[in-house]
Amino acid sequence: MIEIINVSKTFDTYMAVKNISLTIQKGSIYGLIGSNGAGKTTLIKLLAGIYLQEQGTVSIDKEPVFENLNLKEKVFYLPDQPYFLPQYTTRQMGSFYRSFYPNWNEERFKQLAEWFELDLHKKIHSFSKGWQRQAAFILALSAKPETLILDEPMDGLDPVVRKKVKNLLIQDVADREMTILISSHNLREIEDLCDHIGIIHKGEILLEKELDELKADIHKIQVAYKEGMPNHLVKSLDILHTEKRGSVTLLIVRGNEDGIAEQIRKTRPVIFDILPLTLEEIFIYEMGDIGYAIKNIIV
Amino acid sequence: MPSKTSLFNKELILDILRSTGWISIVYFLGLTFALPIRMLMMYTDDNNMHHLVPVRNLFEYDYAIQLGLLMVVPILLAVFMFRYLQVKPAADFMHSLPVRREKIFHHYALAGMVGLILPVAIIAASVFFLHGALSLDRYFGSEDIVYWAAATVLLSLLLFTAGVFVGMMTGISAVQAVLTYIFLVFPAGITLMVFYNLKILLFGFPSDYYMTINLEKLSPLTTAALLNERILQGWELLLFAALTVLLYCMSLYLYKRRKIESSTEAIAFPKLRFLFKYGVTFCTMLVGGMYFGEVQNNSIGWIVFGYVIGAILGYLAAEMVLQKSWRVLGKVKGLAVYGVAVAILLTIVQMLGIYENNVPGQEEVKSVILADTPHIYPRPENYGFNYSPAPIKGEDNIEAVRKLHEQIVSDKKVDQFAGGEEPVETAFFLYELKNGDKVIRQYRINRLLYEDFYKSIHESEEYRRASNEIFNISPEEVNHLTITSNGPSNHFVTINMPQEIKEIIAAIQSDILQESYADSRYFGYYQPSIEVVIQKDHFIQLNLNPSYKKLNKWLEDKGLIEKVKVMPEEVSYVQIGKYEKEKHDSFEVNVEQIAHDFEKHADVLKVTDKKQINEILNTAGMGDKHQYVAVLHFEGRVYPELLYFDEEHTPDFIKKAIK
Repeated sequence: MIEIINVSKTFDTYMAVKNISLTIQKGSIYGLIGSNGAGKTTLIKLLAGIYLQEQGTVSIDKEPVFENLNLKEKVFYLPDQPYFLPQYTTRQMGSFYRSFYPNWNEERFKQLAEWFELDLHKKIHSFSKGWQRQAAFILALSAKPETLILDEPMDGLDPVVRKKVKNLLIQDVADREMTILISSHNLREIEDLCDHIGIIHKGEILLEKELDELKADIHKIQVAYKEGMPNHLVKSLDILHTEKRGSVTLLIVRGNEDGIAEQIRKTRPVIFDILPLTLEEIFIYEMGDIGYAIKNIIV
Repeated sequence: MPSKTSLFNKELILDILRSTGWISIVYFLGLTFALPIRMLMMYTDDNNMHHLVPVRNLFEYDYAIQLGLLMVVPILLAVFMFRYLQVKPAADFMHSLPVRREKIFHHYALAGMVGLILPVAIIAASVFFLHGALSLDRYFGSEDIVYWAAATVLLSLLLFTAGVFVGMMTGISAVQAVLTYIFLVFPAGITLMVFYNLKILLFGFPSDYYMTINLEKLSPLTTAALLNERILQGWELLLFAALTVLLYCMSLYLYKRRKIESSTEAIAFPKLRFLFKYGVTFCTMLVGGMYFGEVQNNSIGWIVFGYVIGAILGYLAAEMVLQKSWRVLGKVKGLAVYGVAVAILLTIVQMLGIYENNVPGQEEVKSVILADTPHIYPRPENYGFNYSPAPIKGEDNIEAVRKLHEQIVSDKKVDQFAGGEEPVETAFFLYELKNGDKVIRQYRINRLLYEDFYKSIHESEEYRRASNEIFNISPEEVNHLTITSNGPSNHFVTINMPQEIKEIIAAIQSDILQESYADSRYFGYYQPSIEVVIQKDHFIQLNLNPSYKKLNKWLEDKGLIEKVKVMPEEVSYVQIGKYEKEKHDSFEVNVEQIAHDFEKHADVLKVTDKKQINEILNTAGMGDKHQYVAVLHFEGRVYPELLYFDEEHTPDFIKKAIK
């Protein structure tokens, strides 16, 4: 379990992370969404034990991360720009990692290389950006970490590889309860992967939700009445948003689906539909004004 | 699976080897050319070999190459070794790995040290081999090889750890390299600059006294530059080793505290940035003052100009480095604050004058040394033996010295050059106080202004005994004694007999005690010189002044006087004229020109009478107050000699002849 409690991190006078708290359960995939400069990378580097926070605690399984050797052996950090030692081949990088990560699995390393059809004996720096990232994934997954930290991992991958990588990640989470923190500036990119989402903006977490719960909790409803919408209905529902298209009213309502349906049916509408809501719509309505301000990061 | 914790990570070493191994190889190849190959070239050429002489040490072989490698390789290695710390992705990568910072540091720093030791060790081994194979014992011994290897290794390790230490404080490799060199010359540089500038700022600051320490020993770089000339002492090598260990530990300490995000920052620790900025400003200010002071002959206007320009340039340069941009002209608020702070500080120092006006009180002083040079302590390694005057303890004398000192202090504004006919001299005071403190001052003064003070001090027996070494030796120590005339024939006598030596020394001691201050200032130049030789590089130099009545008498009695003095017979004639400052007193007086001018002048006295010439020879001198000029023409020599008379010593016949 990853616990970040009241953490702040300042660079000179600029506060990149402001008093953030978040918890990630073991075996969960946590998506950290934020625009450029929101503090994603800083938060991730704090979790990877690279930076040291000025305030608060960053811990995994109740142990602080910074300079904690035994813990870091089970944590693998994949930066937004994968880094490889100069002039190294994937094979040499593998040996390098093997000497640091006791859970390193040589067999899996070879398997993954084969599966990705990657030449282990070619210098990584001669690879294209996409191939470098694949090499980085192979190395990361071969280290068999208990916690995997991915900073913008899908950049530069084509849809096929993206799918492949996602499947591998989900498989590891399912097989051995690996915990993943994954960051992105685009919600759509990772919404099919994550079970939890946190939105970070200007160094602060705006919202943290479990996706299933979120989806069950908010509904888009289309209704039409002969004599207009009854007032008592407007008062009794938790309406986040109302829109009128001709005689049809579009409502975004929070609450239990059955309860809402029952209440509306009582008022005998001419038209009544419950429509599916995309994740980005949920966020925009959920977050109200801020939602519109940061629309670009969640769409 | 339990995590295996080993002290040594092979893969990390492999990476270090792959990225920086080339530096050690270059070092090795360079040394190969400088030593083994050079030796093969020298000692296998039969035609040349008999010219070759033994070397002082192995640094003499291609020293330019050796010095170049020694100055560059360790610092280059330190920069490349810790390159990973200065590049953001590399720094993030390395510190995301499950390995503690100290372990990373030890791996890199120790690998660097091995990379410096190994090439030297191999070269030393191959030189040992050559030494045996070519029988090079004639040129150097095996202990020379050990010394060479030890000195090279210890110096290079010191330079390397200095580079590492600086690397911990900066986040840019280029800055690391530049700051390392600055750091290495800093101790010598700051000492020089502080002493020099205090001399400008504080009236009486004895910078020459402090500067007698060897500046070149204060920096490993200057020490390295002199390796072929000077054999380092054992304690110096130990000091290098100790400093290396110290820098290593301090680097580790900083590494553990360094924030990884500070790569690409010029100064990694925010608190050090302030120090860096104002440190640079301060140093360049001192350099500016020193430069313009030196070039413009200590003109106050130029010195101030130098301070201002130096501070501005230094501040802007530091700001440029910190901001990593040259467009820093808008950020001069700190400079203004600095300027005001320095100005206030200087005004306070000048106004209070705590330092300048501090003449110790009579009851505080235990003893005092008054000398005309700040170099009062022996430094046998540089100048052979040097007599240190004994401190004066008599109350009257201390009082007199204090009065002199007080007068000089109160004359701060007096131009010591004005009206002085003698170049300014040094007055050096070293008080030892009853509480153990020392008060040391040095002034450039015109002695004429303080004649009365000096007279009373100099004519006291205590001062004479304290300041003349001749009172502090016993005749038995003296090996021999030589008295040499200063005339054209340069004849001399050497005295070896212990009894005679004893008599002469007694005579000199008595004559010195009798001689007046005026005579001791007036005579000297052109009088016969006495050299009392105690051992090879320890001798006492005196002049046989006409005022040394006893010694002159002794030499006359022994019939030696003609051998040690210029006799009237050697002088063909003497021209005597009125002294004119412009013509007769400059550093470049042309005696022949003066003699030529005197030929045409009516009021010039030409003396040919041997008796009068003898009187002239016994009365002419140098002194401070010139009245007449004497040009001496010798038999059988083209070049005349110039001497002066003051009022007191001028013979009557001259006074009568020239009005």
